[in-house]
Amino acid sequence: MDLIVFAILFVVGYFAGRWTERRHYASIREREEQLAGVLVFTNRFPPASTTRVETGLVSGSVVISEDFFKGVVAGLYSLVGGRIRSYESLLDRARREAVLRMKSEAQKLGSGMVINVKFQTFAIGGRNPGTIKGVEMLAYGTALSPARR
Amino acid sequence: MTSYSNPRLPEDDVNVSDRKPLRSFLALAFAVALFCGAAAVAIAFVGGEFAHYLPYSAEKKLIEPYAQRYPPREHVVENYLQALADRLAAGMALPEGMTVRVHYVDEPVVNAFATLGGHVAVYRGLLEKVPDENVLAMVVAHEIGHLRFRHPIRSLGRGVAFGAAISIFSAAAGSGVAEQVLGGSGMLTLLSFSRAQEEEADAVALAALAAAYGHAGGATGTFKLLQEASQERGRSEPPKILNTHPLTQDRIDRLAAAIERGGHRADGPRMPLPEAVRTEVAKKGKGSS
Amino acid sequence: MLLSSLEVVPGRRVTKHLGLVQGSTVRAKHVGKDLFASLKNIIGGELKAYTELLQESRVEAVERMVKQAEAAGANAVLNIRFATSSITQGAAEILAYGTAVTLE
Repeated sequence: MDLIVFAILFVVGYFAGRWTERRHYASIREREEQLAGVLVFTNRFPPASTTRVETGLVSGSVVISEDFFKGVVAGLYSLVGGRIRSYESLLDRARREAVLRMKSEAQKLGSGMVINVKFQTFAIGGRNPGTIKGVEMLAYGTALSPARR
Repeated sequence: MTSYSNPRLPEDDVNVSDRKPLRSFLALAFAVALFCGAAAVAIAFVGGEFAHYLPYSAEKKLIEPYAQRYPPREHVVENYLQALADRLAAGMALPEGMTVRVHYVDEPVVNAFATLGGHVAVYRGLLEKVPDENVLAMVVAHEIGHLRFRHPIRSLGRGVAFGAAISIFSAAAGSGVAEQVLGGSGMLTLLSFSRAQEEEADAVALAALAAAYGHAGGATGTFKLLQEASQERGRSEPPKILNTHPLTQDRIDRLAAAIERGGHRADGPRMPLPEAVRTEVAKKGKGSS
Repeated sequence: MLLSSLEVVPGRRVTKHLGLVQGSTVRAKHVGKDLFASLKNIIGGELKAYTELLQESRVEAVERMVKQAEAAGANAVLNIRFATSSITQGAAEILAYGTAVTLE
């Protein structure tokens, strides 16, 4: 009985997870294209040519859940050791999504550049079994926009 | 003047290496299953080997609670079987301190088994089928052969070690197996032996049979009988003994070859079953159980 | 109040450093959200309720930090950083911290 439930969750997790991931990636690529005008850097200082700009703290965050299939595969990987490949795309999606949300916030401020970008990752549910498994990704930085006069 | 720009990420990004998650899952699952299987086999083997070094007295103590449920009794069939077993065991060089106790089980199953602590059980169903004492003696000698090589404790050790190994991966599944192995006497009747162990038991049984009767008549008869019985009943209900004793033409051929090699007389005068035993068995379940 | 993750503000001079200011909040998710999230755990995807929860918490942490800075008489907080940690199962602390300064 347990095995049947497991098999159903596994199959549903695989297909639904794949579908979700594909759609998310498509959306990420589309918005990356749209927001290509906002540049992001980890530099601590603004470009040398900058004289007077407005600065604003901008951030973007997202919590992404793993699917059942990814969880099972990750469990297997953790037996074997090495790269947990099934989580790579999860974190990649979360990080790009967070950056996109930060960029769109910057765009609203009329900014074309975000500098001193930092990331922060937080595992929801932690290592406790039986809790919600997800990852929060936060991206934040300082948006530079032309001084309003 | 420094230039600032953000190039586009390529479609095939470096941060995501798994493009075929299902395939990598299958490869992983296969590898893990293979490893677990190999580990289980290794642990079971080690368990079986170590169980062999458990002193016989400890084995007897282990089985004591179950054995007490079946105390020795004055019963014509059981007395006869016990005497037969004692006669056969005398020439089988049993380990120090080992005694054979035979139990007669009044059930229609065509079966006989050996288990821990030197206990052998023979079912009424088998006694109904055997044409003479020689054929029966081969079965009893075979089961004593298992005892002589201490196959039951090896089999149990294998089971226990296997259960322990599984509990490393899954506590629930492990305790289930351990319960099955240790929990009831039910498992003690189902200890399974490997093919090699069967052959070992066959070899000493044959020698004991020849020593007791002066010829090896009935040795192959036992298995022919069982084969016939299984064919008669069809596939739906094969004799139970076949579950634990793989029966093949090979085995009969092998025995025939062993008879020739051992220089035993292939056949001779057969001993009939005592009349009292025949009558008792024929009562079918009305006898004391 | 000017907030920035930079150490300096381009074109403006810091006249006074007023030291570390911080704001933090501990939040737990509620059962209803968890129920939906556990379904999401099977099929994957964004846990919007969680995103919002953490986002709100962060806003609150920043507000508290700003209040501290105001109390210190600052008009800007520079070099802002965030940190998140799980305190117990189901609860997280969100921390925002930075340096309070007065800009000319």
